[in-house]
Amino acid sequence: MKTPIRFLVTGGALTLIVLTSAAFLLPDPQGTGLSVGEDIPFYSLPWNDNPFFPGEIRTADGKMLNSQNILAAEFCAQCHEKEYREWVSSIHSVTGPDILYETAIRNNELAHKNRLGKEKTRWCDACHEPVNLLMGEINPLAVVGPSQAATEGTTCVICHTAEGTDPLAGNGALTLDINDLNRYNEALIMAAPGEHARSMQAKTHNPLMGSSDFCGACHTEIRPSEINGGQPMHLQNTYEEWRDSDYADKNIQCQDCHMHPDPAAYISELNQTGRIPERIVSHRFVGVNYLLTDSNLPSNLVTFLRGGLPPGDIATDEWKAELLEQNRLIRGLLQAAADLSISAPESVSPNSEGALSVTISNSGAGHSLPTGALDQRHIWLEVKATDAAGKVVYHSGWFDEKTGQIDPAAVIYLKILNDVAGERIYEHILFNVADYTYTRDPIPAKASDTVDYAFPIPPAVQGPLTVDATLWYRLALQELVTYSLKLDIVLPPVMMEQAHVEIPIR
Amino acid sequence: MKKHPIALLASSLTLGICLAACAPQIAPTAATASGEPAAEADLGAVKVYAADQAARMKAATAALRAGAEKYQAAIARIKLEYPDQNPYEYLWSHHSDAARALLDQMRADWLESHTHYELNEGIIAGIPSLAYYDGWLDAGPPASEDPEAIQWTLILADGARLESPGNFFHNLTEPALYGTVEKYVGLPVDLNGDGSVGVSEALPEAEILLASTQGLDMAAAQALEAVNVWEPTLDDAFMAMVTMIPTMNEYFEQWKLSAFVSGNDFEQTGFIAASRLLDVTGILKGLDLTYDNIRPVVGNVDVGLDAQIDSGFTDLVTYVNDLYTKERAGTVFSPEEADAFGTEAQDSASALAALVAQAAAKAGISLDLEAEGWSPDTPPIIEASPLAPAAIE
Repeated sequence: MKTPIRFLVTGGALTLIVLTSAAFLLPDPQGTGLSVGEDIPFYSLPWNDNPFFPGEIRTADGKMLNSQNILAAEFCAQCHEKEYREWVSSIHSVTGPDILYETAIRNNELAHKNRLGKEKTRWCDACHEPVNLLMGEINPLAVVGPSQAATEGTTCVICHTAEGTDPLAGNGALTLDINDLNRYNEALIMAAPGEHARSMQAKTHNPLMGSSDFCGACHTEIRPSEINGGQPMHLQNTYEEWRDSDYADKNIQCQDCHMHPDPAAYISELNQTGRIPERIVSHRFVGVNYLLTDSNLPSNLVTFLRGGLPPGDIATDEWKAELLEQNRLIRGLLQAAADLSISAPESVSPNSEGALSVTISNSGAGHSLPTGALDQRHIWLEVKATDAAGKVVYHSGWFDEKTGQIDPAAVIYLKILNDVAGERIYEHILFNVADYTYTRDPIPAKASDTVDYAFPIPPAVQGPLTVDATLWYRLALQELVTYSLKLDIVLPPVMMEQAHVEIPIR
Repeated sequence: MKKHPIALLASSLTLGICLAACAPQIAPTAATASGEPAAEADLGAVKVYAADQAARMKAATAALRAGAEKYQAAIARIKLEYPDQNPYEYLWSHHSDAARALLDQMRADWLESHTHYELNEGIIAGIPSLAYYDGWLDAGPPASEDPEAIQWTLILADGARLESPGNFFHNLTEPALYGTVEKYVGLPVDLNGDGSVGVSEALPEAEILLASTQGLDMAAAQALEAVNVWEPTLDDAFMAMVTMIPTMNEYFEQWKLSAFVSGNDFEQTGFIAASRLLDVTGILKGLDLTYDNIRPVVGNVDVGLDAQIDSGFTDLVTYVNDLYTKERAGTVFSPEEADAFGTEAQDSASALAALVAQAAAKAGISLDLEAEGWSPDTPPIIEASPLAPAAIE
């Protein structure tokens, strides 16, 4: 054997021996997770040994996060600035600090004061404040330190460490391999970006990230018996609504639309061509919250509603511009979700009864319309008939811009929550719900709902009769804004769709 | 032997990998026991401090009560003698110097009593057997804001009843003395003589002032008695710290909404006599003193942790004291600054509370997560007792 080859073989053999030896000498892999009791004292476990229960979120090693080294979005933004800027204008970045949520969680906790109210909020925080829950902050006593990431709602490392999900269990049912901070070592990331992409569950490596099953972990909400006794109560079923739809059959996932750079354009292309558009990923997670993205609101209200200025290094004016873009996309998505049509007679006679029907078609949403927290989110129909002289002949579904109240007789899609005494719950106190009813059932994907209207035609009516139908969407009840947030503002609705017909008078 | 470059490279690589493998990992730090001889906690010193502050508070509330009785007697006398006149207008037009002096004295007495309470609040509010008095004296909301509010009744001398009206200091006596709640105002007047009637320039409505100050004095007496019979334990001391240290956010939020930050746009009807920063410094002083007297217990199990906690207290106290000093020197902070300061203080406080919880666990202290505080069997009913009508001079 020639000398160089001999040295090479010898060197290689030695390397192998040293590496093999080192493997035995190395300590067992050790994550950074902490244990209840040993590392985090006085942590309340009233139901079982799962520190996150009644939330369904889990860590792969069963341990809690160390508050001292959870990576904030700012760290990720060093390389992923585009994604950071998209995310920072999204609702996912404020699922925790959002003032509506903060108020609701306080109301629920107070409603169960001295009845494990604090611990019960873990059910909500599994999706809304996962970092706070995972690090042990949701506890009657403050036993863990602060973390920048705890102010970021659903921050990067929550989704990007997920390795498992249970979308039918919901309540945050993700399993996170989050307690190995070595994967976030900057030098290692730079040295092996491919490995970083793999370990951070990039969708090219982990199909779960592109799957509706992933979203279902939080977009399924079931109140466990431990909260208020009785049987588990299904409160949000968005995942199941999708699963039972044509969209699931066609393999169109939540991410295809809601993570598209322009969801309205996606829906339009899908409906017009019948072909599934190319998947392009944005981290805006466009949904329906037109309020928390409206940076044109007066008195810096949007900053207050979002719980403060954004995390990370983004100038306020740039952030507000990102919010406005998000708001534009949200309004576009809302308007792409439904179609509206009016079926009217060819003519009507004075001093008779006018009859017409309005059909709402769920033509663009891959789930029911509306969906989500339906005790707050609602859509309703406004139908207005006006004669040629401008006289209003019929008006259903009016909205009072001064008080925020809607016509009590309006055709509205809303979930009515009641407590055990039969009293209506207006302020999202889910802990106290005993039963609920729908004023009108949500419209499944690709389905439609027709509403019949009848009204008297006055004797002196001047033709033609103009009928305008409007489908409105509103994010929450005015009562929540007035009584819970104690804000002296009217929560405005957003127009989703309009239709118009003229009926001759004969 | 001449080494071949490839072999050298392989060996270097091997060495590098070995070194990398042996490099320190990011992992939770383990605290070490010091092995120092055990030392005794001085819970007696905590008790002496708490009792002293409670006694000073009680002395000041008695003085305040006496002033309010004198004021109400003067108004009653005017009503008797001049039934057709507005008694407050008469008082101000005929006895303005005496009325101003009496009001100044009552405000000084209020500040004195409130300051001594704040210096005690960290202890009283954090200990389940005493915490009721924190709600009743200083922190509890009225029933109109919270259905779980402390239930009690205040009956004025004219028979009017206030059901669960909140706490004595900030919902009753302070708004009455400083005119921040309209129904507690007798007459807006130019107290400082600058030609205009500004914020907090008003003669108090006599009946609410009398009833609330008499009630405050009675509640202060009960609190003093409760502190005097209290037998402090290490559990109490740690519980007070873990409960009260992380409350910075709330205080800074109230500070932000008070006249000290927001000027005339303030939303808080309380916290006008003294800045909420005074409350924070007082609370921290009480807790710092408590820790100073129990730190031997922590030092005995973990010297490093003890040093961290001590340093954490020093940093937090210094931070808040600096802010308060600047404010007293005339700096008016903006709401945005108040927010930022609050966040920073809260972060420090959360970290400190976590360390104290760790220390309690290491020292074998039991903290009852679901401890229910003491409260009276029946809701208190306090009825005003006026003196005979008398002239103010």
